[in-house]
Amino acid sequence: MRQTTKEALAQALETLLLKRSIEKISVKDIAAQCGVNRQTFYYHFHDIYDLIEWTLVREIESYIDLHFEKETDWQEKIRLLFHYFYLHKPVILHAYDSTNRIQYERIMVKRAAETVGEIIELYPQAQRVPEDKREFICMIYARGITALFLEWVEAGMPDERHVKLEDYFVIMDGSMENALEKFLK
Amino acid sequence: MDTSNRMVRFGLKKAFEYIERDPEENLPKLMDWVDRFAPKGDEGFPVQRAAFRKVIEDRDCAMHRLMIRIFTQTDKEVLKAVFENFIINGNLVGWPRQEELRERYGCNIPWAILLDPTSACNLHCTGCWAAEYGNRLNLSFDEIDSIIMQGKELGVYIYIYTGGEPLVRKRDLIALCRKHSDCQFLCFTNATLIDEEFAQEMLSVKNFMPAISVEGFEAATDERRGSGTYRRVVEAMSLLKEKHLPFGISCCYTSQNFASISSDEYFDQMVEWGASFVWYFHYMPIGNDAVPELLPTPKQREFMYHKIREARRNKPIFAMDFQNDGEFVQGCIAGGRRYFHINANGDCDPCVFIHYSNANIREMSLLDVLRSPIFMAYHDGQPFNDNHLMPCPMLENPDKLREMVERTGAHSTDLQSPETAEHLCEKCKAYAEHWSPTASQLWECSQREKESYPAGE
Repeated sequence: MRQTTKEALAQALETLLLKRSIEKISVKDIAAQCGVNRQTFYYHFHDIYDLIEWTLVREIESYIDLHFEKETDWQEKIRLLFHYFYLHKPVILHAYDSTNRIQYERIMVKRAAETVGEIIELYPQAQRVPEDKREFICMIYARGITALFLEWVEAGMPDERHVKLEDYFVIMDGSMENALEKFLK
Repeated sequence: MDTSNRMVRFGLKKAFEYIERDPEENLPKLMDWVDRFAPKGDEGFPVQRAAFRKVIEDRDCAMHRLMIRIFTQTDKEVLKAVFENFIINGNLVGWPRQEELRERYGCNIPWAILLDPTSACNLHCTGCWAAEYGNRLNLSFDEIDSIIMQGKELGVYIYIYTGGEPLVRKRDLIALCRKHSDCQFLCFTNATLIDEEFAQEMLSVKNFMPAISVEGFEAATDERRGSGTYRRVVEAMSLLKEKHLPFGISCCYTSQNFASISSDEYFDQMVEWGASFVWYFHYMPIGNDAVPELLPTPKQREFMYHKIREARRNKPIFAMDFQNDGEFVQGCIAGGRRYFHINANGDCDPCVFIHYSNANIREMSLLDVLRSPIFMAYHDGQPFNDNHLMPCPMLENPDKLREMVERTGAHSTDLQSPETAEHLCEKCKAYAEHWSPTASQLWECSQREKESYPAGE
């Protein structure tokens, strides 16, 4: 029951974002769109960005379940994610304006750092690197990809080939081992 | 304010990482950090900070044991939220803002707002004053939301629910906690509506703390509140303890129960239940159906005065007495000086016990409520007595309330059975006369003690 309310709110937000941009959408609008009241919204979410985060994470996870294979390498995963965002261009452009960039940065950095963290753990050297150093490496990588993504959105999300992902991969490839080695205890 | 706020939050995160590792070792480090951040002069609560430091450093004192208990047995995220909302927002951030506005508007600006989300209750206890309000009134989610939004503008970050049974509206209360994640919410409750699902929600919002009414052991509780109630309350407390959720207890003392609810055995039981604090309230003879015989005698009240001070020294639970602890807050805190009360009809009472008003939150802003006639009469009249053991304009100084109500034209906001101020104050007259000599004697003693230990004890 609770899950469906959350889903309904997520759906309502997406519907509204197809029509207009985020600064013209209030909690009241979202609640009305799915036939509940404001308090129901706040029972589940702290604010609109909390809802956006929940929706994004959930949708990306189901997209990943569908498209990522065990053998998909990390470069292909990033390509697929950018493609996913490209497919949702109208909603994302409506959800983003430069005044709320900080909100998206927060969400993206947090999630990206978690993912990088999982990748780091796969390296045998990781066990011999202090925790705070590993966290630092995560943040550097997370901030890099987040900036790349947000700048692409700010440019109006042209064809995803404009992101220069291939150049990014050239720099990143093998760099993580290098970073870990430098922090070995 | 913004920059220092951000620094505070960063520092807080670091401080909590230290404490999590070893509270005994690292609590003093947190205190050093609080000292560094605290504003200069009186605004930075120097006396309170000194008291905290003493507690942190003296490992044998009861408050030290309580603190360690809180740090080791409370959910870390909840503890962090309480620290951030209650200590940082509620005091260090809120207080300077409140002071600035007190100066600017020349009226009281509260530290906390008490409000009744509903007059409804799921229990029907003998003698409950909340029951007098009847069962059909509610402050809507939007109304409470607006009160909190206006409150935050004034620097108020602490909201205390009473009623009625607030948890009749538990979904709305959770929604308000989630929306106002920078505020600390306390809730007087009978606890019978706290279940697994609600406990999970409390863990998820982190800023909701119950103060559970328990007034004695099984027989006394069930007799007054219905059979099986005691067991349900105890079960709720054990659920909270199991989830590492902090909570307190609230007790009303009367001529009948004062000895049992202040016994060593009862204090030990409250600690065992897992309560961090206990808030004692002196019985108030309000309402047309009040029973003045329940008022404690001077001897009984003096007994509570000593007993609660003794418990603060010996028992690892923080005990407060709303009527006998006036010395720590310079007398009456009502009328918006530190708090006021909004009932489920929107009427703004100066005190949770004083139901006379000229202001309704549905018709005016929070600031205008604080500038309404009866609130200004409180502002101008406080303290009502230089002896802070006689703080109340009703109970110990009944002529004052009678005069203020008459002068301001405040009307009774009692929804069930309006009572005149004459009638109410008449019931307190004899009490006040009898209590006065004891109060003077106790007050002189405590003043002498303070003079001989000026650093505070």
